[in-house]
Amino acid sequence: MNNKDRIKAAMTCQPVDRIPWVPFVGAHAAQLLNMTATEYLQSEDNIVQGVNKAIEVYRPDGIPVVFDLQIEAEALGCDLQWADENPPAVISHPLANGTQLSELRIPQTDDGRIAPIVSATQRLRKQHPDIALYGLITGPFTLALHLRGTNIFMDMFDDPAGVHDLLAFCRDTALAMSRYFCEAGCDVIAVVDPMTSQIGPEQFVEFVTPYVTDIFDKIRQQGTLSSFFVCGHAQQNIPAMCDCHCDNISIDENIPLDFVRDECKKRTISFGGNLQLTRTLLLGNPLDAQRNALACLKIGGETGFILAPGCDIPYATPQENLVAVTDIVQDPYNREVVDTLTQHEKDPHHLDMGDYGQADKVIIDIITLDSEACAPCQYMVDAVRKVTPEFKGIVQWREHKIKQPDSLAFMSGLMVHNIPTICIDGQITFVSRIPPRDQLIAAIQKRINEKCRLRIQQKKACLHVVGAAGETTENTLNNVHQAIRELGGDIEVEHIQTEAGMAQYGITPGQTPAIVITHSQLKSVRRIPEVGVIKEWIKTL
Amino acid sequence: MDQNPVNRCIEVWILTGFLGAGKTSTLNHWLGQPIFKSTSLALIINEFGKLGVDGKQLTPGTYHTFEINKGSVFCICTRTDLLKAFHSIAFDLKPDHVIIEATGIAQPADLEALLSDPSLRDYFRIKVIACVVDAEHFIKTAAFSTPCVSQVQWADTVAINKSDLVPESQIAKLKAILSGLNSDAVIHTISHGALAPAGLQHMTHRPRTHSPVESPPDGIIAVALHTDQTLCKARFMETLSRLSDHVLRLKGNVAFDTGTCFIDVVFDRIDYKEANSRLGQHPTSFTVIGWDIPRDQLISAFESCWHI
Repeated sequence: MNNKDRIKAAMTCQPVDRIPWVPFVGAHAAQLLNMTATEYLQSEDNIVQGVNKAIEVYRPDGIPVVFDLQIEAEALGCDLQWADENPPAVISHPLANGTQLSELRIPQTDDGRIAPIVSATQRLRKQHPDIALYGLITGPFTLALHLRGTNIFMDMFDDPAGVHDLLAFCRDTALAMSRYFCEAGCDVIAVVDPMTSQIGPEQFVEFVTPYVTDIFDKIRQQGTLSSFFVCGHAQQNIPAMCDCHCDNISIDENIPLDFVRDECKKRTISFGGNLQLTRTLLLGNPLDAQRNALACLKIGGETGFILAPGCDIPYATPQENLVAVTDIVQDPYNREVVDTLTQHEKDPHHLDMGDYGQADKVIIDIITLDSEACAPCQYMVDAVRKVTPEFKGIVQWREHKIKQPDSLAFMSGLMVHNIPTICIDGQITFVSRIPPRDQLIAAIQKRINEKCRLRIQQKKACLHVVGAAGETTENTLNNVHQAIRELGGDIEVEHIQTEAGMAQYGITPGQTPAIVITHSQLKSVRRIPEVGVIKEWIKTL
Repeated sequence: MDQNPVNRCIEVWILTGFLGAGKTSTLNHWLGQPIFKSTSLALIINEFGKLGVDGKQLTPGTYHTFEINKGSVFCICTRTDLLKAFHSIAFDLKPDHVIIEATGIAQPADLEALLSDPSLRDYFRIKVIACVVDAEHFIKTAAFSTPCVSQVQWADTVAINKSDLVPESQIAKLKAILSGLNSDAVIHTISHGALAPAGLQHMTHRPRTHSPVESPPDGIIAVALHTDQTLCKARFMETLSRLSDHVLRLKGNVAFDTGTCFIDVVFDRIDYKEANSRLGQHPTSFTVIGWDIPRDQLISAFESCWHI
């Protein structure tokens, strides 16, 4: 099953070999090319290059050619304010500034930026015959708001007939745009109508349903699949959206995915969404993204579901977060790892491993799913097992299978996020890759050297000369000082003369002069070390 | 900024209200008041489709202004830019106050959620959410725009602006409606945006826990009615009279047994005009905005006029 087939099957609620993934890369592609959104969205070549880059990095099943809901508005005379990291914004509304609806004409391919976008679609179609290309068109209600501004809400009462005329024009514009995209080779036409979240279901049925239903019917007649995108607080309109003859509904994080799933399944249409854009993809880390993706995959299920972000991916979204989503979609092993981590993440048992790794031996911890059941984990354990004998007992290794709660707590304590991982004395050293033998040996040897250096720097010794003042004690002290001088050591000498002091070391006055040597090593300050950490120290005694 | 951010939260004053309600007038009024003139201030302007306009209209001052991707229909663009602005305010500018002029289509719940983000919540404290309402047009917009109602419901105080343009009786009715939507809010009646911030200083913001409005509540509803049948005028007028406490506005063509006309009801006032030929194929086609009445009851009350 290739990527496009997978999308088509999911769209039509047919079985798939895995859930498809469609990153809505729009302005974000500009970041991939290290340019502004303005430079990106105004250039056919940049769009082609950006989508190619996104396909290379994110390995999607489908991808939009461009995500910009101002294309039609611009072609119809709205002024745009361009931005570095966002799609442009409409800043003037012709129908609120004296222009009559009768003066507007349906955009042709040579209006605005339509020609370069259609051309980009054709080029991408040739370059990626197996990827599903999405043509995004502005929904009629959103386009009506672009053209008329928010006056439209009062018009619904003052001039409902005028609103219907405007929406009919916007429907015809959407039909023209969908035709351009279909002819250029798009596999899916997505009608994106976010402003419908501003109205309730009664207004939706009166002012939106008739027009979008026409659009979806025409798209179907052209043999193309369709999706209805909405974002914002639009849960109230989902049932009405599902009744508009589209093949698929796509939503953002403001709407519960299970609610949409249930509404869509009632009508045997597919659905998509709803990765969290800001808190997770933009501001989170790869593990956050994977946890969120996993939650969506579980709710969405295997049939009729497409994993996608809720809307246009923010420009500055870290690429690694989206790559992490790709990994979890395409790699069942990765899914299992994150699933296990997620199931245990509420475990309150956290270790403080800040002091870990101060034992005399070098400790190698291998964090695995289970080396008996997971090939990468097995190879990583084998790699360690084979090299440790060369260090003749000063290197000790242990496997921590995260299916066991204690191991999970250990993993969290070491701040490990990926499986398998090798930690040397608590330091994350090899992540998700099996180290070549020489690299592993070098890493262990480096740690041994560090440890030797630290031992020398940290260990303190004290030599106690025990005995009351007198000639024998004095001679003993002199010999001690001479020995230290000859050795060049940094050893403190203490003279213990009192009986109480002698008793501390179990020495009676009759045993003097005596010499006691003590060693001390600073292990922690101003904190209460965890039991597990103390146990590691004790093992060195 | 204080080492412990909790000890010195920046006070956030949020101005909401539908486009044209008078938020910018209120903001300008605030900018001239001692509380904001004598302290350091940052502004976040986040209005839909007015880029450049509001910026030019603002009273000059020493404040720093952030204009958020206005006009964008993507909530994500706004949210991302708002986060950036808040971070810049918290870590670079560190003013005493922030005033946010929210977009007319903003759900205040989203702003409140944004400020509770772990990266921001220790640095900001919402002082007050003030919603400016257009005395003339609130009913119409509230019946069709869900955020318009949310903004009232999430406000600590509601200012009925442009009160000089409507009769006292309408103001009284509007107050009753706004109290019905939010009984906790303090309601002010103002003109030209003159909502005194000094009067809000003693207020404490009350965080809301319910979800943002996703459908106009039963409080204010809009119903479109169409029929090819002739209506009994006497029964229609009797219905209007009986529902006078519940019908806020009614507008459209009505084919009475005495002739077709265009009828425009504003609270208790009824105007008759010549029928509007643009209102579609049905001789009777009108929209009613009702208040405090179930939708079905409102529909059946008017439908009874043609089911004779």
